[in-house]
Amino acid sequence: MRNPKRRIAMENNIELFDRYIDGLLTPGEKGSFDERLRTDKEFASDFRIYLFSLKGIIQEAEQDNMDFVMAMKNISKDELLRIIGRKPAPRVLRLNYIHERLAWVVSIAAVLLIGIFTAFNIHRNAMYRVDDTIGFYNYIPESNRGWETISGKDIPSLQQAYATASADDTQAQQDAGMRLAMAYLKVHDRKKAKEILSEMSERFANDTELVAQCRIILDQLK
Amino acid sequence: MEESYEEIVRRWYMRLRGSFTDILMDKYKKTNMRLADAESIYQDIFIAIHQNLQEGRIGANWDWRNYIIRVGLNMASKKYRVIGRNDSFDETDPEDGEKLSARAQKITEEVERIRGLEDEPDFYKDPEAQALLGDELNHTSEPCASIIRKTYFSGMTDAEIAEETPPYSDNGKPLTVNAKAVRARRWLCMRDLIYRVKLSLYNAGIIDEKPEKKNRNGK
Repeated sequence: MRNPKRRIAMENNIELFDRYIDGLLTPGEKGSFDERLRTDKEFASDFRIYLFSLKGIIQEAEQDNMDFVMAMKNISKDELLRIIGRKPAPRVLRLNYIHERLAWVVSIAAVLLIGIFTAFNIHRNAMYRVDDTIGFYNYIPESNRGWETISGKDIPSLQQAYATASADDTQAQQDAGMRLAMAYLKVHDRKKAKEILSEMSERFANDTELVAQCRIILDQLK
Repeated sequence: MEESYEEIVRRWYMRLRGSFTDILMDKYKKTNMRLADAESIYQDIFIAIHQNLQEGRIGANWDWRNYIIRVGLNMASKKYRVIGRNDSFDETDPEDGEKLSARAQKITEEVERIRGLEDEPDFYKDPEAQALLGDELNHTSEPCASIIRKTYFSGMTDAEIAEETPPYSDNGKPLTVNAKAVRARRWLCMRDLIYRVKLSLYNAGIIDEKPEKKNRNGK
């Protein structure tokens, strides 16, 4: 075992101070240490400054810790998130089981409705194009009105013309009937148009050419 | 000029960020932990501390540096255990730890004992001496400031400090810091600090002994 005095002399003072503070000195080393504090002025001075410095370090660290607590207590969560660069988590819509199933049903229904509406529109537009084509080719223009100018407002006058056409003039009756039927097609009232065409087929059954024309149009309107 | 609360929190956040992520990525290098994962855990610690302080669930007298590191390691341990990974480091609840390290308590007690002795110069409470000391502490550069603080305030061992010190590169060769290197560095740091404080107090006429600059061997 080495002589404690010799060992103390060999070690640097800082290690000795550290071991003293940590209570690691043997009784013999402790005795030598206390003796040096009394007799070695520079050693004693170093130890005092050592303790003074460490006390200052501890006080400074404690103050730093208190500043941290005070700061953390006085900033909002949003401020903290901004300081640390944390972006707010994206809001995720979470539905419960029933709501989730309901959302699926509503979504599917909406898709079906949109599909049906789209298909209906396509079909209706196709029908309107057929009406327009039939009307364009079969309307018998008058001196003052062509197919392009016919509208729903003209139907009452056309009805009257058909009803009041001279009984002696079969051709005038047929022309008035055909204009009325085509006017109905212009406003896409197929039902009325078919009624007029059917009536004309029966009324002018002797005119095979007219009956054939009416039949063709009726077939196209089915 | 005094720091705002925001500046204090930012300083604390930045102070430990690098060392914490280094420690964590080193602990979990086998699991390929990414820097983003380590930073996310580090952010979670601050959010948790903020919430707990706001709700009064934790006291204020902690060694927050140690607290942050230990809570962070606990968080990482729990997170990685949940997904089936495990590790070997201590999972002690930080609430079980001491608020002021045993070494810091002993230093405080020793200062009080010394002050009670006769013919002792009582510069421990001298405002001028304390201001001069504060100035010298502020001028203590890294890594001395961290090593001294970790040793004497946090009560960390040289091995623990070495473990927290990231490896450095020496001519492209990665070198780790061991406990012996930390101890040698600490002695030099303390000797330099004592010399500067002594010189400062001597120049101010607070002490009579003029300090002598010592070499590495204390002579």
